[in-house]
Amino acid sequence: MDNKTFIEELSRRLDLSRETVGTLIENFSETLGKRASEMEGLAVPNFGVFEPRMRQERIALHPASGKRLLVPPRISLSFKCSPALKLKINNGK
Amino acid sequence: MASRISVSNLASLMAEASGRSKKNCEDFLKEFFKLAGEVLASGENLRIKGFGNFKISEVETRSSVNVSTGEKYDIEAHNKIVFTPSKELAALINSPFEAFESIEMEDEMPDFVDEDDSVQEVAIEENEPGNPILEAGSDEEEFDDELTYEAYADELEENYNPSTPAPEKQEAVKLPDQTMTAPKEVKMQDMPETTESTETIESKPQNPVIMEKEKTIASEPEVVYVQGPDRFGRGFFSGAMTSLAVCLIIFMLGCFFGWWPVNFGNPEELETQPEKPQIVVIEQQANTDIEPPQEDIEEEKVYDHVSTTRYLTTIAREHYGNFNFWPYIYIENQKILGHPDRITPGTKVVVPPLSKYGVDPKNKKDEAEAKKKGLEIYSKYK
Repeated sequence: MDNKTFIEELSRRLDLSRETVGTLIENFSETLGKRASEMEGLAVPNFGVFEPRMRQERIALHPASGKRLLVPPRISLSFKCSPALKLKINNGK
Repeated sequence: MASRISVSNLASLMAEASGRSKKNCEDFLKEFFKLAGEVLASGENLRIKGFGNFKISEVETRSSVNVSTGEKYDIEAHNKIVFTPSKELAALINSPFEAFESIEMEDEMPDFVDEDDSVQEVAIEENEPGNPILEAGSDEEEFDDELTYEAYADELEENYNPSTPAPEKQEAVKLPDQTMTAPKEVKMQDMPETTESTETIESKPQNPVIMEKEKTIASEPEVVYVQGPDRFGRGFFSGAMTSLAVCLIIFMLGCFFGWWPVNFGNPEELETQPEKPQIVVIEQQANTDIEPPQEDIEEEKVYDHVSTTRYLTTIAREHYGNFNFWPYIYIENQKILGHPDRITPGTKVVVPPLSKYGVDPKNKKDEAEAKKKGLEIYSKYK
């Protein structure tokens, strides 16, 4: 489902305008992003866990030039879906 | 490790930031995730602008081992959700480290300063069956005075044409080990003078045989080799040429250092050589006096060094773009390598062009073949 359909559906269910839903999503990802940058995850029941992961700095080889690069540390967001959702996407298997 | 907050906690944070009521935000979040869950449960991918993509991807059946019992079992094929945060979200999350950038590091690549020398060196040695490849860069002390030596070489040339007394030659053949450990530098300087025999071979347009190896070098002019009586075959011919060259070098060195008492002016000695079968070919061509550059008869070689941090796989990845092709480097240097995991650091290896083996690093089949070859190499040492 693409962004437009999702927002439309959400606005219908919440009885809010699409614009409001759009801003709410923006607010939400902003808040989540800020918390995640402080290494705080978000647990959503029956959906999954968003968890920031700290990636250590490492030395990597540039695939094209063959030069060695020192890649700085970074925080990335990982998502692990909950067992309930996992069952659903696997049709109950 | 990392702490987690609940949806309601996030809702109150959201309410603070946006100025909406907490209840609004919480309702929104609940509905948001409920809908997202429904969409994903229906098997659809979900794209949310400013947040990220949820993608359902299939995982194939794979075997695993039960950690506690050690029993093998299969993890069945299933679907999983892959979440990729959008650029904006990823940047926001990474904001503590956004000031850092990837830094290019100075690489301690082996320098190829002595490439010219080594090109010659190996070209000489490659034709010699069973000769170990030598380490470059020693023995300089023996010939500091190049000019003197060249003058001397010219003198030698005047005294007798490209020929060596046969007895000396045989003696020299018996000492390949000593030759190889003996001054190599000298050999290099020597080649132009001492290998007139080789040079004369090269130009006879009536009967051209092109060495197959030369074809790999597209940019270089084609080199024409002439074969005399065909019964010796190409391998024998080139072997004979190289050994002859080496003999000449040794002989001249010997003369220079006074190892052998030789009378340069003795014409009888000069006549002994043309009777040797290997030389017949050369003598036939001796009237054509064109001297092509020596590089023409030699292949351009690529070198690399194995070190504690650079293995054959590393070298293969750098030169071929795929580490799986290391067995070809190994095969090329089989003579000097033992167990592929126990190569002495500093070993210099020849990196052959993959075209020599007719394989393409992008070809999956060739890659599988290369992997097989790797296993074969390992199986030899079990």
